[in-house]
Amino acid sequence: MSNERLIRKSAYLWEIPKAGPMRVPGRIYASEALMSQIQQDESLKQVANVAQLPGIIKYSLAMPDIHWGYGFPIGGVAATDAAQGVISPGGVGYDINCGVRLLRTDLSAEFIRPRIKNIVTGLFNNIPSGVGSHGAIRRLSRSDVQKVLLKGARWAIENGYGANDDLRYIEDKGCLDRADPDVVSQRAYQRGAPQLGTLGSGNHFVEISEISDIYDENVARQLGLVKGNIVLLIHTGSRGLGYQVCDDYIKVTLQATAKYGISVPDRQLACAPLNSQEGRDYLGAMRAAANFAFANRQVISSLVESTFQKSLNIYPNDLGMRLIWDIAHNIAKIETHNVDGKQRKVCVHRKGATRAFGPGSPDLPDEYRLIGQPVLIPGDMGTESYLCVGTQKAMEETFGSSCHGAGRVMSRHKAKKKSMGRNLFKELENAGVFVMAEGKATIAEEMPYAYKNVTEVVNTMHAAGITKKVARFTPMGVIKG
Amino acid sequence: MRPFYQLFDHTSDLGVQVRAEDLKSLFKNAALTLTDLMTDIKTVRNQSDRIIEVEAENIELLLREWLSELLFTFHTSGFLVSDVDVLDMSVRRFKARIFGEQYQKKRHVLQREIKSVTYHQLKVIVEEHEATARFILDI
Repeated sequence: MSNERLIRKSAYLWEIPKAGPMRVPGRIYASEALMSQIQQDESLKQVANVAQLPGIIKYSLAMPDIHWGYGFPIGGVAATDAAQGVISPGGVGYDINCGVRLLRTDLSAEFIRPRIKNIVTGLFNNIPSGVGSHGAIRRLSRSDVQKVLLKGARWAIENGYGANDDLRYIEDKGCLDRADPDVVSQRAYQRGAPQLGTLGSGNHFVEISEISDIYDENVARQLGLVKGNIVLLIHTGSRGLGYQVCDDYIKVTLQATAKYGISVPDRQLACAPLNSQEGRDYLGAMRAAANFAFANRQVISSLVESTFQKSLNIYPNDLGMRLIWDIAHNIAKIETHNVDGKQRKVCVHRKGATRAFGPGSPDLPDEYRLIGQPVLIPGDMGTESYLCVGTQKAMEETFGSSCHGAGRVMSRHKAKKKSMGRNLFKELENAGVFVMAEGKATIAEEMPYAYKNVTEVVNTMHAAGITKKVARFTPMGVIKG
Repeated sequence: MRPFYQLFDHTSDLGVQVRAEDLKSLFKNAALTLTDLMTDIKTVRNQSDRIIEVEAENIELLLREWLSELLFTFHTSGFLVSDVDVLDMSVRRFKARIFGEQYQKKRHVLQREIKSVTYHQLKVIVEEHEATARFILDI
């Protein structure tokens, strides 16, 4: 239960005033109903803790899907000054560049519904979870992994997974510059080598959904989305390689925190100055792991496409599958933002938060420059997901960031207890969602009641003017690791 | 197997509390807990062994290091731990022989993947007749 002092700034914005060692105030986007849920765990304390990081600018921000993480809250955004500030591996998380991609198709939900079990089974067989087993593609050598770390999604395309055009629709074109494979440990290479093209477990998934509502006809048309057709959502990240990079660099930054005389209220907030060797090394390793994740989603995307072709026995042209967008929601990026009227270089940590650049951003492909960046917000496996677009207000208030999902409200432990004696697969199937899962505890821990209401989360950001709703997707079939 | 560990609530991940009569058994029980959270430990046979050695600055970091090493072993070679024989232990160093077997999809029902052992609220408490550890696993 949270004891943080809160001031309501507007219907959807709350502030934790600067107090004690906090360098800036905390700001949380939430409706009143969501705020009462947020206050149930320790996430507001974590917002205040993040506000203590050296060089943090303006606010320690939190999105409405915020919940108790380790160090940073999940759903937290913190921008630090690129010259004077710090970078914290805990502000990115273990699953570096965990993210979501959205694929459109020409297939109608009506056509897919009677075939859903067949397709989901095909996806389940072709896309391994990778836990305790091997991936769908050959085990990579060290020099292969090195290339993946440098090239990101482009490596996957060069090796036959997807088309060149896909790169246009991936955040940073699927490759972060200045990745440094030499500062990635041998242990991380070992964990990554068998795992490219694997889904992982926990909240990762591939989902087939129907476009059930369109809120912005104009944007939906430009993105090629038609009500009643199906889309695919892929949610995964950098697998064991990223987990190991995070683990390695928390150790490095714990020492750096002491070396540079930085005081943090939680070991998991260990950090290093961005202009120190430790900070630069982490940034290089984190970018390399992010590139592994871009390649991973690219490979899985291609496995999804081939599974659809085989299961339905149709040609690629009839499938009409095309990448709409691929976002990272666990990442730190050096970006230039307008801070109090001046352009400043900052390091934006997004821990369970999505970049949401508004219209006009030079980082978007030409065809998206007028509409703003697509923001993908998956709900839990039983309920809907949303596509939104970033706004100018996001650029002004949140360093171009928005929410990343529904956000958990119930612990895995409680969720599992609640599921005792229930046939969850049957319950979901009765609700119109056919689910297959590798991890047997995963389903119980990921049930809809373990999450906040994603619609309320998305509506909060829409009402706050940070992201605008474009379409809603209703799940029909899901595979989970 | 359950009695020596309990799960506590943490919104995003898995909070674990492990108990034992002393520090050595605490490290052993924590290892067995890790296995039991990934698959039913009763299904893991003692078929081979290997030696693990870790070092850290204090007992809490040492426990985290030990569990991280076991996760690394599982993620890189699929080795599941069924038993532990502590060979040597001080506040900063821990050496043990682990027994177990290779993960097999047909034999072991996978419960969940554990990404990492976090530092958040990591605690080891040693009392006269009991040792307790609390840690949060990233799922």
